[in-house]
Amino acid sequence: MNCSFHPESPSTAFCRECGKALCAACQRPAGGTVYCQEHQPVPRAAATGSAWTAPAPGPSIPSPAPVRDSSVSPGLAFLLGLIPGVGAIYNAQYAKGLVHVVIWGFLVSIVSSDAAGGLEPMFGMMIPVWHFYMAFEAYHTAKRRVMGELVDEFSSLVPLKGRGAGFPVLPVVLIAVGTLFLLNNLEIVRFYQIMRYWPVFLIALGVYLLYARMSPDGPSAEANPEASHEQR
Amino acid sequence: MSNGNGTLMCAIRGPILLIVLGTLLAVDHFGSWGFWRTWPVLIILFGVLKLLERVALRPPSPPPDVQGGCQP
Repeated sequence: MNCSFHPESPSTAFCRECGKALCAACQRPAGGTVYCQEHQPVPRAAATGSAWTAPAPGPSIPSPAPVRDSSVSPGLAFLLGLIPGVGAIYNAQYAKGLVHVVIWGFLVSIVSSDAAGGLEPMFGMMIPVWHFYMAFEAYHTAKRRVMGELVDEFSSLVPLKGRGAGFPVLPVVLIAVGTLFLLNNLEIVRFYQIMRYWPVFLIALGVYLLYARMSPDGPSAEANPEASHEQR
Repeated sequence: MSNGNGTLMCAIRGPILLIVLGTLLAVDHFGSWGFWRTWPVLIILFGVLKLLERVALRPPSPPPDVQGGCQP
């Protein structure tokens, strides 16, 4: 398939809003996804510190004052957020809704099968916690949208800012959690054997915080209030 | 995004995860290891791919507002 605007060049992506095929020159990446030039979101919040990196060469465009968007209802977002993933979909964060559903499904599956390995109470409690987290998260995201702030596709899930610098927290945590579950499921190391060493987690957290504060270029990811806000 | 390897890592993540998911489900159907045992492989693989993507996307001198997003 070729680009809708340049029929001679092959398309490499599609606009999230209108679905038009786009070549590399027509893509407007914003907020972790791709738009066409027509549907490229206009940054309404202050440009400094926002996660938007519209490829605008030249001098920075003065951003207009935040515009309140009254078509978004935080209450409705909360109610829809009680259905797994739907709150994020209401906030037009489709990938995040999918992640929410997958995590919720994993929690339910772990409890309903015997994969928890004796930790059923913990996972059983995490299901309602995650359920209400999704609702409140949708509520706060909708409030930010009402205030005219731009929310990216993975807001409060993965900080898009500060990528490529600092310690890779998310990949390391994913690999560690996956390894623990795999060892438990293959009955090599059970959870209750690992849980005896739980103080190691505290030590690791302390070492990581020490690393984040001591490294000269680390504070950009850790001490940045925007980034920590995103991680909430 | 300026880095070709980083874009490649972004592009192949979904297909690789799908292939592994299909393999695990096939093993579940035809093999001895059920999917309830092997699903953490997907989490590990996702973490490894994220790590590789970060390595590939790491710019020589990181600008303050760098963003290495995936393009669908």
